[in-house]
Amino acid sequence: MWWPLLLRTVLLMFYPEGANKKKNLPPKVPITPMPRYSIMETPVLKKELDRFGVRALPKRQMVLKLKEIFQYTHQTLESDSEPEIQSSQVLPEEPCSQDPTTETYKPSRLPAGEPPSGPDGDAPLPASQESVAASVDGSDDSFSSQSSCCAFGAALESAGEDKDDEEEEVRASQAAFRAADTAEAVRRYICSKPALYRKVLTYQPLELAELQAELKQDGIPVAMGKLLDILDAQCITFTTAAARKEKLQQKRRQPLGRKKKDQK
Amino acid sequence: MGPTARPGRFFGVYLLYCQNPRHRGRVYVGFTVNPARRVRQHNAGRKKGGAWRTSGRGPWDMVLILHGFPSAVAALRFEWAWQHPHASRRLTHVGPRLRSEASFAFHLRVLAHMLRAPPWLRLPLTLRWLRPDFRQELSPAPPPHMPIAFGPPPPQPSVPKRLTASEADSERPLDLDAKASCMLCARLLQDEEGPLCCPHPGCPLRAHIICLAEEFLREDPGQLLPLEGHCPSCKNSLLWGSLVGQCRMDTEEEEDLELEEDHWTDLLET
Repeated sequence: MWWPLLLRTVLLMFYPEGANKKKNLPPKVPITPMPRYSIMETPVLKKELDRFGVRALPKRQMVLKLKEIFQYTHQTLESDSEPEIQSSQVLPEEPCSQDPTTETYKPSRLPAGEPPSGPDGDAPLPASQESVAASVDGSDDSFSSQSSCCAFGAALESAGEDKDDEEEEVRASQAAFRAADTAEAVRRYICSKPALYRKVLTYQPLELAELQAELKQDGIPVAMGKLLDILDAQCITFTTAAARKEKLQQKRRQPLGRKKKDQK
Repeated sequence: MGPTARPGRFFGVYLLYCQNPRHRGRVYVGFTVNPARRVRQHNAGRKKGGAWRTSGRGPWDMVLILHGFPSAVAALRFEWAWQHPHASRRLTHVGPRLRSEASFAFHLRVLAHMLRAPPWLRLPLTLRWLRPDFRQELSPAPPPHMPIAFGPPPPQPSVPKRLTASEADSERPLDLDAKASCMLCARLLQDEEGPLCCPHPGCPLRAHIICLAEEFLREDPGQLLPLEGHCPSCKNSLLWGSLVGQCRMDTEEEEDLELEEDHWTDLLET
């Protein structure tokens, strides 16, 4: 998790004397009482969280998260398990700034594309994003036939209500949104090409590689696996026969060249 | 291009049941374009064209056949998935066969789920019980647009393509002239579109394929393939599969015969 790093800076903010002192002396600042998060209004909670670079959450979760942050930030330095604060490790992250994106849900905790700054490592996160996106893709089949709005909402539900992994939930819903978007784009493309649509309506199998190339040319890049899923959801038959044949012919032609190299 | 279904083209996936007391309960799934011939081949053995796995283990009964596949590709994919539900990406929700579950019952269970799963859900298939005494209710039930039939399949018209073209011409000489226009959008009907006609006798419907598809899909937004609808002219209920079966070109039957032969994976020792 990255935000213990942030907490180090926060500790700096709360205990300015701590930055000047050497390791051993605890700060003599009295611990302020915890603000009454439970009775704060939602916009105020949102602002509080924003100070720590945490995105808006459902109210109940905001309260819990703020309490958690407070407990973390208001421990004495001895009991604090965090290593010593080093000024060189001040986070380059600006919790207040968020990358403007066109999508409705933004990952406000991690600006997109920001490289991880601390040793705690954000490396696990991209991996989890992939796995979550992959797991959500599997459930996309049933959604691609609905309108993208429905699909988005439904995918959001299916992405899970995991309290600890709100980030993953956001990314999963984003992935689902993009996936539903692609399915819709493919559907619209087929409708826009009468010859192709007629082929579909007469149940003729579509050549996969050809369709993928056409979509790419039209500005809709789709991975082969994703395209398979989209076509299956629409019950459109496809074939890879021609592509496989061509690959076979290429393989037959190539070995002549390779053998010469090997004989060196 | 390629083997796709035409009015007389038959692509079926069948289920064989073994009546031999030594191999009781064994089941075999296969693909055919001619079910009567295929079951004869199975019972005659490998050397007469029957499958290796069924050879010498007869007598085999073809108890049910699923037909109406619009292309060999579609039928073969179905056949493979039915034979390997554990390996099919579309059937991960189908549990494996329990030890107490008979092979026949298991195959029916898989079939029921397959008919409800994309990409087979919207195909114009017919489930035909060739042996009604084997008939069981499928759970989940097949989609409403798929008829359940009994008895042998209707004989296929073995009419060469030129004859069908001329027959079609002679039946409706006036309607196929260049002046015909689509009844739904009023634009001219071009040749390459092969206008859709209502199969009900006397119904004057002529329409673009896309126009009629959009009409049928009004109740089914977001889908590309229609299932069924009502003729805008005579109001009779129509299955999309039957409508579309009328207007396509012909290809070789020899290719299909090759497709029935054993696949090399079936010949592997398990």
